[in-house]
Amino acid sequence: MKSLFVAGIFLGLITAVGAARFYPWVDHPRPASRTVVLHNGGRLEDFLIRYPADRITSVGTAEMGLRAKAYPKGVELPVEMASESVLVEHFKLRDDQGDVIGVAARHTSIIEDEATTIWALTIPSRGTMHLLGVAEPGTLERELATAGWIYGQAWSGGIDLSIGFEQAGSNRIIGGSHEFADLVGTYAENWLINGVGRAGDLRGTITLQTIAQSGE
Amino acid sequence: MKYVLITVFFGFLLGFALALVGLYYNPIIADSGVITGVNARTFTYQSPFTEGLAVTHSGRSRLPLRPTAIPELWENTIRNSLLSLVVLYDEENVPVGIASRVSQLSDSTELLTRGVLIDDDWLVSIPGEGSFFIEADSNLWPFLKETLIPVWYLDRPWQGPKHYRPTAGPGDEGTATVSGVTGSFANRKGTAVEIYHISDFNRTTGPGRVDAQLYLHLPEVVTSLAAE
Repeated sequence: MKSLFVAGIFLGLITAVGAARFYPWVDHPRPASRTVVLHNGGRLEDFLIRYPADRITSVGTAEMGLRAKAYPKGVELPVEMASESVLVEHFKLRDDQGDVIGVAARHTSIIEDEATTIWALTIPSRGTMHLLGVAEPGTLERELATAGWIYGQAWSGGIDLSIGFEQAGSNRIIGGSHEFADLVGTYAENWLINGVGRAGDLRGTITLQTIAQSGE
Repeated sequence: MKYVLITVFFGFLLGFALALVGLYYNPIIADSGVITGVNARTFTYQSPFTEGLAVTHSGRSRLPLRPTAIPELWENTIRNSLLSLVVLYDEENVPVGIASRVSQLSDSTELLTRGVLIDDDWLVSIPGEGSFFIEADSNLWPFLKETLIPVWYLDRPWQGPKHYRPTAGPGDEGTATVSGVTGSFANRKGTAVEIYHISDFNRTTGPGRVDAQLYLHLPEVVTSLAAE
């Protein structure tokens, strides 16, 4: 009987240690990756962001235009940073079917007269994809004004704006973490805006079309 | 037969309990310790829950949202994620940058040799200088064991203040990896380590005053904080 008790102790020890070591304590829901494999071995994947439903936060300095208005109320940059050129936005990220799959951070800043946009697209089950592109502050406002929008007034219509230069390669995929660590490629960023509220809040969809391949 | 099963069962329970005690005090997954005297640029920031620009999560946690009107990350695929936005200060306590951080429980979590790991993906912009990414594995277990579990779940008084070095990888010797993207950080690789000093922990709302330091080592050539 004593040997059975000792055997039970060992069995309990092994079970607990085995569970600590091998049990999948974290298992993120993983929606199917909606990628299309291209002829050259690359893969194409589209991500969507719907304005205003997917906006989590945005804050920036006045130079950065409409989107720099603090959202939600109470998100404020320190006054010491007021003279800088920076815009920070966060969104929920959707796949091309419209299902939320992650969180996107977008930082826009101007360094030595060059305006850049950096995206970090975090998909919990897959990792984070890093994007680096060009962006000129004020482009959206100019396009809206051309389409008849007047500051301080509500507007509805439709503009389709591509962010970045026309030439290929101005918007680049620069790797990331986990599944995206070795990826390189290009992306296109399009803003389809169909309305602006009186307070300057946008309605529309941002599409990020990525074409990536392994950089190894 | 009945006595055999009962004997084995109680032996099993005892062994299981002993193993749990061993795991709870497991030194392998303990805190990595404070670093001092390293050749690194230091940024400081405060708790995103009390001083940060914004923080949001699934809404199911006791941790507060900031501001309270911020949308929650309630969808099934992101409900284990936490998004925080903090202002980074330099050594003279001047605000110099903004850091976005998405944290989620890591599927590398393993309680025997690694700890309760969090995947931290940072995007940091220092206006006038440039931007960089940080990829960090943070071990939450020391904080859970010493602070959160005793105070929140065992109703014990908090034994603070506490220092933690959560950074546990994925770089050499438990450092986070840094990738410079734009400006003066462009094309530079380096490492980072994060340190927390928690001087207040509220039984209801969680971390109160938290002073955090982010040590950034971003040389022209690739080296590691761990080598300092």
